[in-house]
Amino acid sequence: MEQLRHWWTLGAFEFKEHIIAMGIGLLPAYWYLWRQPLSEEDAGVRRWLTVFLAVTVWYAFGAGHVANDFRGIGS
Amino acid sequence: MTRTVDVDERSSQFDSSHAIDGPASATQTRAKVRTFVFTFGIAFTLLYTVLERLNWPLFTYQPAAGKLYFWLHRPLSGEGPAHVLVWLDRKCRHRRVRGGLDRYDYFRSVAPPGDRFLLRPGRALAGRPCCTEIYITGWATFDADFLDSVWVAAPPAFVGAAAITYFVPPRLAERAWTSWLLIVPIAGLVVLGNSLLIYFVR
Repeated sequence: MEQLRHWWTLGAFEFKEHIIAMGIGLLPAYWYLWRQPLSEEDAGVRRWLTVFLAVTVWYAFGAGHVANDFRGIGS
Repeated sequence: MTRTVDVDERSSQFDSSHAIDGPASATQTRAKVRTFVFTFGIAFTLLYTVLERLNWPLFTYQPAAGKLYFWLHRPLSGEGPAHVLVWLDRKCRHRRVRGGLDRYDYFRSVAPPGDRFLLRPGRALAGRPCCTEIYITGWATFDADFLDSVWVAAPPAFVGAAAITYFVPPRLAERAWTSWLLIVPIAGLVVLGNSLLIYFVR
């Protein structure tokens, strides 16, 4: 990627490491917030934390997929 | 008969006190778990951002001495040069912008045959043109992403969260912590994303 100067792909892949690390750090809180019975007072933070984790997972999937497909470029 | 009734009453009192203690204890435990997981989430994401920006490793490897140190460790006298040459499988590499370590490019010929990791002071190689298959890290850190990323933040975050859970009253933590659970990771991603801007503005 560096040789072909695809900096956007490389940068997006580097960012994946950070976003996944943040997601890992929040997993214990996610586990707690979804324990039964669900707490009504935590509904807001539960919703937004779930959205955040969904974004991290989908971003990682997309960035990893693009980086993986990059192997086909120039071959 | 009277004694039997007394015993039954005492027994039922004992049972009811247990019944009262049980939910109270469960609530207390739940509050402690809540404080811990929220504090850990905040501490982890905050520490990850700070340590990533400062580029502090979890371990430092000194290949000359063959020693592995916990945390950041500058080479002591007698431990040999502090630079590590790392073989790269490419003709000419661009300097990596990530990580913050000083990295330099040198000719492959400076490496003894067969050596994939070797030590050389960077100064001795200064002035060589950049077109090579070797680069030197600034000082001998173990150049592995799994060491300088996620795991470096986890142990201190765990210890800090455990300490705060023990000492801080759950009510205070509940009021102060909850919103920070989302603010800190997002702010951290903004800071870390900003450090990667160099990739996107070329």
